Amino acid sequence: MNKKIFSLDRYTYFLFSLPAVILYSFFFVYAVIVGINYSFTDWNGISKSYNYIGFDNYLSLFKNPNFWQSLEVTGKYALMLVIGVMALSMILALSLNSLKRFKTFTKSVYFLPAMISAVTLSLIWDQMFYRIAPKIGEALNIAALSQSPLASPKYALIAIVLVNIWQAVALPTLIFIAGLQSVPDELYESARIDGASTFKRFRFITMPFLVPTITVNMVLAIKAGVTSFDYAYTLTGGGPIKASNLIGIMIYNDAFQNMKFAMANAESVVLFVIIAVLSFVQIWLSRKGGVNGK
Amino acid sequence: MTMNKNIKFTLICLLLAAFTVVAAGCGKAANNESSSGNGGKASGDGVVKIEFFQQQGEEAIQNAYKAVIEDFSKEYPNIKIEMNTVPDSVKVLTARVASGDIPPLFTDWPTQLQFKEKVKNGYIEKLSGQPFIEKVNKSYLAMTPADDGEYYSLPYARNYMAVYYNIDLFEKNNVAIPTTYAEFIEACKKFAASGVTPLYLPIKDVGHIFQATNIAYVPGGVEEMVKVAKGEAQVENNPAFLAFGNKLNELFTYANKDAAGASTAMMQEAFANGQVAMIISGSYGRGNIKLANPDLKFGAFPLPNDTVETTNVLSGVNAALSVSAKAKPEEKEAAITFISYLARPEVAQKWSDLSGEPSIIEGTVYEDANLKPLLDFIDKGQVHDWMASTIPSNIVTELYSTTQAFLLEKQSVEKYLKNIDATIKLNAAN
Repeated sequence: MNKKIFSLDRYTYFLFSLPAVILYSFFFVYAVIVGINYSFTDWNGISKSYNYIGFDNYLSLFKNPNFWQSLEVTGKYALMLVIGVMALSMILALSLNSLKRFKTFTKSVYFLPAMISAVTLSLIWDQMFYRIAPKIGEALNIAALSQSPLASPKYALIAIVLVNIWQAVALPTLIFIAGLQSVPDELYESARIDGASTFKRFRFITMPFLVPTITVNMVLAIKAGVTSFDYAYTLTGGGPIKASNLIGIMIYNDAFQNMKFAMANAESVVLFVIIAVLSFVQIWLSRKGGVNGK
Repeated sequence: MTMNKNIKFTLICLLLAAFTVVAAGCGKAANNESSSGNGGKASGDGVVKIEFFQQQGEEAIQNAYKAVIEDFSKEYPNIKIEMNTVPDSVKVLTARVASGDIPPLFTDWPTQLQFKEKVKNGYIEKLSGQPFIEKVNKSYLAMTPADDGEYYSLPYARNYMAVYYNIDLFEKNNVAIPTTYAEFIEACKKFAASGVTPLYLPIKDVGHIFQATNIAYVPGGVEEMVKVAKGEAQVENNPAFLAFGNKLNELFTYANKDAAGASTAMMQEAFANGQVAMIISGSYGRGNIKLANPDLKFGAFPLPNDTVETTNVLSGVNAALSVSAKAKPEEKEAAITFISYLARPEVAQKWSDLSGEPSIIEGTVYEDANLKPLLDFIDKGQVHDWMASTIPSNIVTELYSTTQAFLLEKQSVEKYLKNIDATIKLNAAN
């Protein structure tokens, strides 16, 4: 038994994984530790020296209404993004999977937005919102579209989420398609013989096979929503009137514009904790169920 | 089997050793780079290459720098200036300073508090005593010393916020250049009556409009807001600020229908295409407008307050040239050689002609006769610098949101002023 544990094969695995572990530790773990360290200081990002001030940054952060407003905006954004991405990518995956012809071509069409950078995409959408949306609003008499939705504090966040969803559905769709292809055809066949309806086949055959992919997609979508920055920054810069002031934008501005580098680190640490908690809850909730569930 | 295992083990050890060597090599390369400020290197043929981090993204300004760099490289073939202009450059430069990766030559705004912080921490080379400093217009030079009274940059141009007007539309509608607020509103009414959009406001980028109108309509307003930050005053019920709010509201009623979603770039485009009679623009917009429509005839005048005597123009020193104190000696020498070259009157003149920016190097003249009256007004001294020279920039940018809320939510002026007080106090405390 002992011999097996310390066998050379194990060493091989260990040593081969070492470079990745070292690089990960250097670029991620080290950065996180340094960031947490700065969050307890009063460093402004430029000065050569700084003082340790304990939890002062956290205390003033929790007293800052802008921080809570930003968290609320981020929460709404993440929620809309998760619902949008999950629903749309599931529908797309099911439709694409049942295609008989031009399957690869159609799949690549839907994957195309994912190949364009978020900033480029946002700049294109910015122009479409400004120039085309009001014309549609006028033609169809929709008051919400009488001007660019990005100009309205009410609709700006929704408009940004739409752009984000438009690009973000591609990858989850592919993951769902992979999940769908792992379902053995015999199961559907026997269910059909037993007279199961389409919905029942989806609920009792497709879904259990999809649970692991749902977990993956959900964790990715939550993370993308909570840490989102580029779409909102390019489309509105956090405005109008802070309506799309995501926590990522607040961190960026505090760090590099407002000379509050340490405070920005404290904000990042809070964000880190939120994402960690959400991910744990999500993985814990979905650890049961599915074909591999115990 | 044992033999096989030994071979495997040796192979793994070799692989690891190779990885360590590569990693160490990377580390060393990175160190070398950072010690050189990551911006310049002398190649084997004796050519010194330095990065020039140029913060103004406007196409005309970039083109002007490109042209003078090309001339410079003919005269100094041993120095290669590589201009680098990025979006959101202020933040990028701060991030680079924070990580010790300062470009050897860069432009920055010497009157702003952020610049003074960089000087205080020894990141910027002192330029006092350099002959080129003497070539700068004295009144602008006087705006730029750091807290220790020394000069750390070559101020190269001034900037302003003013009203650009379409000369043809003014002539066609028989409108004279307004010199008071009442005349300005009269002009707006005339244009509106003849179906011309009087004023284009970019509320998406309301920041500079807020600064320009506040400085124009509230003499001493910036100083009053500094007092608010210190807890010594409030702008609520302040008659001058009340008047400012009312005027801003009135301007908004004469603005383009889609002002809420419009950006500065869209404003410049609309003006260049002759769709609007007036815009409140920074001097930085002039080059872009000329590029978009070289045939457009336009001039500039100060955004007028109630009387000429109470009108102030927002004007300051534009991006000035600085050298990193952390650069290698040969990089510093190359950077200073380039700055000396830029300060030659004939080079500054060429740069000014191409960029459209009013140079502040002695011996240059501003060619655009239609902008001359504005510059003469500025020369009389009724000017105020950008807000971030006096108020921390986080407060200034928060006030942009407050102003956006005032205009978009159609708040009362009283509420707007209350919000200004609250915004300043909140951000001064944090």
